[in-house]
Amino acid sequence: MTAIGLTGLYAYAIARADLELPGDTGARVLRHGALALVVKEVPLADLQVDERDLSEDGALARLVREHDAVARAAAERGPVLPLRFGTVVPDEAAAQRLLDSRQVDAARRLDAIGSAREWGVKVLRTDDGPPAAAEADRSSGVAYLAQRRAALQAAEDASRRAQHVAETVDAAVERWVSDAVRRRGGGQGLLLDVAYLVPRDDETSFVAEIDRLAADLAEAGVRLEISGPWPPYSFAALEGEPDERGP
Amino acid sequence: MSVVRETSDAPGILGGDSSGTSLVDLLDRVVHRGAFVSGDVTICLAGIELVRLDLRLLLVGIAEATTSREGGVT
Repeated sequence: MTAIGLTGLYAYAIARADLELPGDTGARVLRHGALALVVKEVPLADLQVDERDLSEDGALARLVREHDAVARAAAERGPVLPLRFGTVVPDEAAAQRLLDSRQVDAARRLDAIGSAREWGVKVLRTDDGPPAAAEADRSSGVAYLAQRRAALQAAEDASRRAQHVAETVDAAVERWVSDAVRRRGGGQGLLLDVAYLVPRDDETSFVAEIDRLAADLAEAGVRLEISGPWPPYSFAALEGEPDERGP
Repeated sequence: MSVVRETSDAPGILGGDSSGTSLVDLLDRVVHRGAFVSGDVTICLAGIELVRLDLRLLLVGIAEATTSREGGVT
C-alpha cells in the first residue's frame, strides 16, 4: 500500500470542548462530549520523512516545529494534553472514538494541568567524568584492578551525587511546582533531567529559585540548564495507556 | 552565568514560535513525551510508525553525543 494521495487527520492535542484556537495555526478543533481534538488534515505522504535528516530546514524539523507551534497556540487558550509526535487518525469518526474512550481520564488530566506550564531542568556535570575502563593500563594486573575499582567508585559517586542534586533541586522548588517527572540521566555528563509543572503565578519565583540554585551548584561542579515554558508534554500521559515514555 | 535560557528570558510568552529552541530539545519533548494513544484510532501506516520508533533510537544516540560534548569528554 502506498500513502500517495491518502490523507489523514494529524492530531496535535486533546483539549476541553470549549477550546477556541487562534485563526493562524492551520489546525481546527473537533469537539466530542467534554473534549476536543486539535487536528489538521494532512497528506500522509508528507509524514514519511527521512528521520536521519536532522538539519534545521529538513522535513522532520519542519514537522516537529509545527507540532510544537500548534500545541503552544492551543495551550495559550486553555489546558491541553499534547499528543505524541506522529499521531494520526484516519477520519473524524476515528477522532470521535479517540475522544470517546478518554472522556473521564483526559478531563481529569486537563483539570490537573489547568493553566500551569512545563519547565525543563537539566543537571550536567562540569568536572571530568570517571576514567573510561577501556583506557585502563592492562600491562599490570594490579594497576588494572585498581583502575577498575576507581572507575566503579566514580560511577557510584556520580549516581549518589545525582541523587543528592535531585533531592536538593526538588526540595528548593517544591513550593512552586504542582507536579514533576524525573528521568534518569542518560549520557555521561547528564546527571538529571526533570520536567516541572509550574502554575503561571509561580513561574517568576520558580525561575528565580533555579537561578539561585545554579549559582550554588556551580561550585559543586554541576551546571543547571532551564528550558521553557513548554506545553505540558511530560504531563499528558493518559491512564490505561502503555507507558511509552522514552528512555 | 550558569543558567542557559533556551527559549524566552521572561516567563509568560508561550505563544509564538519555537525558533529559539534547539532541534534536539524540541525532538526530545515532542517525540519522547506527549500523550501516547493506542487503539484502532491510530493509523499504523508503516512510514508513520517508523518515524516514531526509529526516532527514539536515534535520539538516544544524539543525547549521548550532546551530553558528552557538553561534559567536555571526548
